[in-house]
Amino acid sequence: MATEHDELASAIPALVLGSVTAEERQQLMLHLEGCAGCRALAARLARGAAVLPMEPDPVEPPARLRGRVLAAVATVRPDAPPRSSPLPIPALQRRRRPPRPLTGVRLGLIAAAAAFVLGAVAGVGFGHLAQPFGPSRQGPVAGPVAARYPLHGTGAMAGVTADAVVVPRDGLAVVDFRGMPQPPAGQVYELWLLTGDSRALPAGVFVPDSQGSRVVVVTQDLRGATRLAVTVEHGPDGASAPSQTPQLSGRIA
Amino acid sequence: MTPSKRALSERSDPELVAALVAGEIDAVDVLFTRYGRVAYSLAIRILGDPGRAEDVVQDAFVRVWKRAASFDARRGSLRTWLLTVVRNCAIDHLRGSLHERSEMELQVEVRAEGEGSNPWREVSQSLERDAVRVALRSLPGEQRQAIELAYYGGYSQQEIARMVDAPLGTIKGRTRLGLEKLCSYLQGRGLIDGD
Repeated sequence: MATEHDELASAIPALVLGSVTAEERQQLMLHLEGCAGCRALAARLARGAAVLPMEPDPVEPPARLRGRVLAAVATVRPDAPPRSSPLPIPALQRRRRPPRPLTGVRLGLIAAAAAFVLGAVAGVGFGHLAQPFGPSRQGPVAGPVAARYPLHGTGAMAGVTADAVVVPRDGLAVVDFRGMPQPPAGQVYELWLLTGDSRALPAGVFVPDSQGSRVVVVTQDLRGATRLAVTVEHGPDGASAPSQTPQLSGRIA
Repeated sequence: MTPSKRALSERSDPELVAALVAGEIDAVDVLFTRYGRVAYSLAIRILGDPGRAEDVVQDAFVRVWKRAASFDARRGSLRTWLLTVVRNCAIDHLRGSLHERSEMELQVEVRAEGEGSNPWREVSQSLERDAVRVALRSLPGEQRQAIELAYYGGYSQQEIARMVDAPLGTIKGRTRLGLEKLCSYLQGRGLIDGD
């Protein structure tokens, strides 16, 4: 008759292959903490599982994927470094590790990350002039990967926070809207690319979620576009030309 | 390539993590250059759909960027972490999981990992891929099937048992034996560390 230990040990191969439920995983990780034999087995089998991602045929990703990734990343604030171990259950450790010492370099990194996060929250550094994300501490940067531009609201849009992140090399923009009021029934928000020669090109329609948030990816050709603007138009498809003066807009070049 | 970009691209993976933690978005660009192809290949292998694979790779890079501060090099390499995230995101897409998987901390270093120039990294990854394929092919079909259904399909041992109409204990045994043989083969060729 199988013991509880045998039962848990028999699930370790599935654990290292990542095919257990969260509950099973938690139970197994707890068991590993107290069972040296199973810990060794898991460590051994995990080495085999770790190479499995290398087996598939190499497939070149489409060129646009890099731009998509960079644009998406640019809209997300990195988590601040954890004060203690971020993982609830230590993995494959003989004993609990002491907290990582805060060396001068690490403190500097933490401070830099904290300043980055605070800057992003408070809008510091994202004024009327676009500020490139990136290694400002590392010397001059030619051709930033991505640049963030704030959009400014008036009237009903005065309380809206919106940032456009433009990835020039890949001609992509991602616009992160927060605090948007719901459009009137049957209407949608429409995003426009405004060109230097006063044309307005439709760049997508959207409705914010219940929290007033929405991230819109603009995949249209950005060449010649100097501003982004938002109007309220009839849904669900919007209009081919703006029907009103935008209450939310900002430059992107 | 700009001077700062060149400097970033020459950094080791641990240094790249530090750049991610510092909020340097250029580090994501370098990370994509280094591992974008293997990440996309893995996502395609699991999902079989280029569009969904793109979504998964994007999600995975965002997750790594967001959580870079929690990365612990003592638990495994940056590449292993990224690919684990890709795999988990892909399985979640595949199976419609409502719960985000926590990234497996059972990570280990793989010797053949190259962090140097692109040509060397590509040669290194190619050799590694060949070795992994040979190792998998050397397994009895039932053991290989159990591993592949679990890893690339995200199926539980119970689900696999039902799919292949075999007792659960048999599936568990096949999976463990297969992994043990895989490890022995790769250790014998110096691709992974021994005990």
